[in-house]
Amino acid sequence: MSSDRYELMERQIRGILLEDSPAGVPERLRWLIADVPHSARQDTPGLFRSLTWLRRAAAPLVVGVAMMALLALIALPLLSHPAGGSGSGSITFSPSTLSCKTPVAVTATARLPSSVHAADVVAVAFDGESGGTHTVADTSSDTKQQPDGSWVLVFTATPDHMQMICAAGGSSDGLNVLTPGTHTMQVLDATGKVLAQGSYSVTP
Amino acid sequence: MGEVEGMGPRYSAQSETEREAAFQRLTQARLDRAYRLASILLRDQSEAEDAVHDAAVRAWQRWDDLRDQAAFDAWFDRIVVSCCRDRARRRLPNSINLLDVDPAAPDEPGHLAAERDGLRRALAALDPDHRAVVVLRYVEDLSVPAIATRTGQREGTVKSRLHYALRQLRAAWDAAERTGGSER
Repeated sequence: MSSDRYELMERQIRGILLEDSPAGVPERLRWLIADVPHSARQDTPGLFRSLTWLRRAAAPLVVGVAMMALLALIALPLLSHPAGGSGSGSITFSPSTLSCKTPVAVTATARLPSSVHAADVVAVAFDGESGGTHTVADTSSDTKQQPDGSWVLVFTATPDHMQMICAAGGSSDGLNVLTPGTHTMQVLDATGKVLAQGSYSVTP
Repeated sequence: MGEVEGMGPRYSAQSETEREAAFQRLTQARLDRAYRLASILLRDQSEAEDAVHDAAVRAWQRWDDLRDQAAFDAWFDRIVVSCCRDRARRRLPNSINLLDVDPAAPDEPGHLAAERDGLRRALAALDPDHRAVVVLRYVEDLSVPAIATRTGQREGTVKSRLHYALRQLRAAWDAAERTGGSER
């Protein structure tokens, strides 16, 4: 094999390998890495396993701010009106009424009680259907612990996200988050206790 | 086994807060490179996330072994490579079926596309140990001694594996050229 041809092969090898190069580090991985010392201190090896499982279960939610954010976008915004429930938290949606006719940016702000701790895994339910999980971590930009110990989780969805779900008939990952009517979103702890709840409306 | 320079107790005198701060600073700074390396080694970004997380857990458990922060990158890379190889070995029986071949670029000559496909298949068929040295050589542009540090192998072993892997790749490249040539 001539040296030119060998060099061409080496360039091809590098090019093929770089095809698997990711665009960037998923935010959830940064959270997990940031949580490593804390989790180890808590001596909760099971947590790592659950986080891994969670991460996979919530893959659609987190895929690039995506699924979780999408669901949250849609779901959290839906929670704009804190609905009593057994938890002390609330979810506020802005705007609280959505329509596929006019996709807009949606922000859902969930306030969780101080009984929640960093690295806790909370579940998100949408109209009673599981919508994945989320790890509470004050190292992330969208999850902050307040001075009183409570937590604020902020989810945002772009008009593009909303449009994608509308194009799918108002469903995302099997959840009818943008079908006409009133929808309820809940954040629950590991025991199934409702930590926060809220509703939003979708008009035709 | 090649020893990573900079290992040995040094941080034991640090406070827990200092240890954690150093760990966070160094791992987060290295995360992009580590995740890219794992993704290319495993060809699966979900698996790569798990591998990097495993590596971070392992790194924290062994944090007191790191004697010199300047040696962190090589030390952490070595753990990442080890975690990737563990995962790759576990899934090997299935990975052989994942020899996906992407379509040639529209402006790529047919014979070059065939050769590239041949290379892609040969790369995918390499076992984890051989793939690791090829990735470290051609993606990370590392020398044989640096690869030895990151794989925990002797330099002679690295050379041997690199030689074997390139022989396989060259054979695939030549075979694809002959096939492409006969079709031309």
